[in-house]
Amino acid sequence: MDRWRRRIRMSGQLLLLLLLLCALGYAAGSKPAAAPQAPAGEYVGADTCKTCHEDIGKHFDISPHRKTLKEADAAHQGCEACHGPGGAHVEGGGDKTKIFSFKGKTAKEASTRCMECHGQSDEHGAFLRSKHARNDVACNDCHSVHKPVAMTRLLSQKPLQLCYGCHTEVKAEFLRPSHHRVNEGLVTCNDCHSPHGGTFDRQLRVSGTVDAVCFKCHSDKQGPFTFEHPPVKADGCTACHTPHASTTQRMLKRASVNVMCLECHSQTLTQVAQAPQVLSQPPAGPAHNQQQGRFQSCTLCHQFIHGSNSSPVFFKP
Amino acid sequence: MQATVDLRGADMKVTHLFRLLLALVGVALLLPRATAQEKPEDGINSGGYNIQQSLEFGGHITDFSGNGDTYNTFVNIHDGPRLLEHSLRMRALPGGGTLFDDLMVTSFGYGGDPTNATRLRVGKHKWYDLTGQFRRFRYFWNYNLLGNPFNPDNTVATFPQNQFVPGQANLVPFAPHAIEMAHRFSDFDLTLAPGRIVSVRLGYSSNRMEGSTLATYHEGPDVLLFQPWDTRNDRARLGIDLNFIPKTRISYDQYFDWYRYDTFAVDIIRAQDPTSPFAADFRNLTGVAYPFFQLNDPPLGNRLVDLGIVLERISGTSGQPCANPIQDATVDPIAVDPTCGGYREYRRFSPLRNRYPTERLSFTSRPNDRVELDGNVSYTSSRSRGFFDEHFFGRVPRTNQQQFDISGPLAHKRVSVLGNAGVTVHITDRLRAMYRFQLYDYRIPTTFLMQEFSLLSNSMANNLIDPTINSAQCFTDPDGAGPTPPTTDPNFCPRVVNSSPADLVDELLFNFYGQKLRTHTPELQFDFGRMAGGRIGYRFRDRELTFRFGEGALETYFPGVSAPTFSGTPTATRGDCAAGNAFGAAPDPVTGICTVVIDPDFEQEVIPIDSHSLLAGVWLRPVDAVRVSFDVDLMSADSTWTRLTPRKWQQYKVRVNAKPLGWINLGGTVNIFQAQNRIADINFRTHNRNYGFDIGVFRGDWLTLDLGYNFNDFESTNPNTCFIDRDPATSVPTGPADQPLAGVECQLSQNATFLGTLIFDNQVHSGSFNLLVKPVKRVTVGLGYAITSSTGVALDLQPDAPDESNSINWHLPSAMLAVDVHQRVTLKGQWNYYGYNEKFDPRRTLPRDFRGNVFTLSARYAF
Repeated sequence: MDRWRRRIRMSGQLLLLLLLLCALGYAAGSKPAAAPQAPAGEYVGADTCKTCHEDIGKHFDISPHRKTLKEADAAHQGCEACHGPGGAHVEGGGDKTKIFSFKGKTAKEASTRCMECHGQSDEHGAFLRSKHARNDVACNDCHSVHKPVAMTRLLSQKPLQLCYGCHTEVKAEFLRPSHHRVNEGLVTCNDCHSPHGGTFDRQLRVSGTVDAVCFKCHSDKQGPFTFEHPPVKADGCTACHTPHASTTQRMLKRASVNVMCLECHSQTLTQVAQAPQVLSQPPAGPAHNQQQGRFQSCTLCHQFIHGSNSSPVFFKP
Repeated sequence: MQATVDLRGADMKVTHLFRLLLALVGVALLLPRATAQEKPEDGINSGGYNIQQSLEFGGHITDFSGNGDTYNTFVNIHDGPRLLEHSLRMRALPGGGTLFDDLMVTSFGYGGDPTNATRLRVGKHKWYDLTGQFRRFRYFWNYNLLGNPFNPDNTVATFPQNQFVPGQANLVPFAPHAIEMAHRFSDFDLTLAPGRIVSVRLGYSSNRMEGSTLATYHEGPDVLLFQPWDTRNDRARLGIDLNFIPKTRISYDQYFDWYRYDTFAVDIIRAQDPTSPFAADFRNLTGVAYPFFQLNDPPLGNRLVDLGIVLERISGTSGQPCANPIQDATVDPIAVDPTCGGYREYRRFSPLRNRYPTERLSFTSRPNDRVELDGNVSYTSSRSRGFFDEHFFGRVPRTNQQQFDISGPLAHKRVSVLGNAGVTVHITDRLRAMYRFQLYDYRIPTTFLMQEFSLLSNSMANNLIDPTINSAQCFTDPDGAGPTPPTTDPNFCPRVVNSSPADLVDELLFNFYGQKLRTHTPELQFDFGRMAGGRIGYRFRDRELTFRFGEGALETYFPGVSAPTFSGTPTATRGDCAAGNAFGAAPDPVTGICTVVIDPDFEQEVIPIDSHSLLAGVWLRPVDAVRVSFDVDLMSADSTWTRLTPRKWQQYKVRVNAKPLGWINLGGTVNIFQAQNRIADINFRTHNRNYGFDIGVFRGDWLTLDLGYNFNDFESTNPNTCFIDRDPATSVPTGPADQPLAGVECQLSQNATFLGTLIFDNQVHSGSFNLLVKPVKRVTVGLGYAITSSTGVALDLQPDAPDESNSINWHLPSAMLAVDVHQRVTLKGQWNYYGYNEKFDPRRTLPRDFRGNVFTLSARYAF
């Protein structure tokens, strides 16, 4: 019970801290938060827009954004939720300069507009600081509000084509024989990476237990174990495996298990002298003759190499 | 599931194919004409919803030759009917949608495909959002990499594949760690009142793996074990979002994870026994009968022994299972020498229960136009409880163990804190300052209280001698005077060798492993204008790894008679009780029992590593349709903790994306990564260079072309590595000679250790194209081809293991024809070819190449 009390108290304190931080932010703010701009304009409603933009209107009626018509506030309704008030545009006979158009806008300008509504969610909240945004990739580079290929997330192309279109090396990787089943539709890029910004390098997600995203599926490797194989936790699964696919087995970074292991488990006397603290823990140099048949694969004996509860040399689970 | 070479049923398959085709055409003709005037994409309006649905039903006809196990490892598609695809979309019409605004359900792969999934998304604006998915993966892995000298030699073409020859045991034509399991994932997330001032999130996930696996165990010989796999991870989530401050969201989440590990392992004598509950699963996995031997022990009957996988090419080099294992080859099963190493019985069970409660607090805020904030902190403290129980009966020649039992409770914790905080300040419209801090701190304290009890003997056929019961009959000396204590009966004395363990061991093991990782990343971003921008930043990473290890033990040695004659005065002076031992232990003069207390001993190591990185990037958008980005990451660290952890790396990335026309997408990538750990005598260096392009043409629904090429060049050179590489017969070093640094010596004796360079390089060319054309309105034709061609050099350490096993060709051509026979019905035929070709000698493993054809016929009905 004490433990839970401590946890609840800690959470409460953090919550208060966040509230304080946000309040300070407001107090320090020089300008009010931006709402859809051009307050002088008038909101005309989506039906008015459809009189000229008929095709777009037809699509809007079946798109997820149609639900914005239920919003009470005109500034968040329909077309004008994104394009701003259309009164001046209508009065100007369709003058494009009198309404917010995404055409010709920079990535930052376009994305900032989307973030007005979508920026509050946990998924999208840090998008403007994501690697994508910092490389001038905008929301509308991947999403197409008016002509989507996939209606569910308004994607401008099929999800895999979308990612592969820029990440060509990843597309090639998934064509290799040993691969995560991404092309088969079982796993998606989104399962491991957050395209809108992530916690770790490479916009990786974390598992729910605050660990590497790999353990979300490979939960048997997560531990904790009595005897951890430290690189698994310290450097991650990618210390030994390629995450997407490989031409080698078990998606190992080397074709031979022994070469993979020996590259670390190979201590010279000079190293021992320079870093004595490493000596008492692995990696120690193996005393096995590599040419003997029974030593041809380290994991034949050291099978539970990701961690073991009963064997310091990973022979048993 | 041992697939076999199967070309015999080709005629029958063609017959099936025509029958299936006729059935599909029949289905098409029977479809109601009343709906013909409606287009499928318009859907049906009913009950306030527009409903669109499609269903693709069909089947596969497969035909493959070559190694069926490798086919199953990579492809695993087999004959049979399938629900290839299903989708349902419901959209509320104006005035409708009482229950939901949108509903989408998609499914594929049901009926036997290795992957199948159903995904659901349904929601009502501001009321709820529900997403769910179920995924199943039939995970088969039987790619044999293990050279076994008793396996059929490739030069003997007539050797019957996958069959054992009596007396030529122990062939292993399958992977000793083969896997056939089902992996099922379920995820459900419900958000109540999304986007409102307060919204609540509920979720549940389940991740279950179960099936059959093989394991190996090294205690004496290397034996196969049958390991029924059963693990499950369940997770419940509860979260709340507070949106009462404008432009600010504060969320709190509570997660509960439960992990259950119920995998166990048994010897394959038991697994293969027809009366065993595992018999069918074992046979499915291996596909062959595994040979056993017997102990020629008439009083006790025919008792089976597993001598394990014999991996030594040269007899006697390892003494496994023993010098002359065959005692009588005329009986079936063959009788073996009971002094060999062997398994008569083995089982282990180590159930484990982990609980991981996690709290997470996060927020996102844009208090004004110039400031953006976000952050989150998560805290997990897991608790694990488990028990380990292992039983062995047979013989371990090195230690003379005839039976051992190891058991004891486990208790672990893992405490993790992950914190992130980021702020962006827009100094001017073109200049932004960004700062991000990340904390990742975890510690894993663990304990294992182990008890080991051994019965020692020099033969598998001997009666068991339990020293805790029989010690007094082996040794008594009532006055404790010696020197010739009366031995009441040597038959009650354990037979020990110097390396025999204590008869009883109680050991407490403590481990602690932790890491603190703090990362600070300030960055300055600037826009030169509409056409270019850049950023420059610095990343400081402060990392500290901590290891602690401790153990304490109580060892009890009972008196026994020693090798080589196993006669004379019983004594307990061996192991930690040997004369002059460090613990000052000596046998009790009356009972002859020696007790050793090893006080808990702790070691601690702390490895601090600081790294500094220069981060820079430039993006260019010369015209709206072209985007170029260039990223640099140059890192330097002051220390390292493994040979492969870089002290320096340089990473350069260039990405080009162009859309010269709205329907053409061009992508190009150059990725260059190189890293070094060049200190003292390590000199490790590696590079991974990648160059590729992709062309996509998406011209409405009548033309889709996707064409790509990629070249990947990977190399790793690790000079001055120490390993033993000697000819087992002559003990002469025959390893790959190199020019090691002068003065570099190995940790092990220079005489026994070879100093060499571990090299691995790998060049992979990948090319692919996919073309979908609609030459006429009702017909769609598809053609595709993908190839992965890999070559490279890997250091050849093992004469039996496959040479250059990174050199392969992997072909994936395909063709497709779809005909809209009706406004709502499309008949579809597809051919996929899978060609796997290894460009090296598989040596003592069976060739793994295969060629597989998968024909898929289907009918798609949409309304």
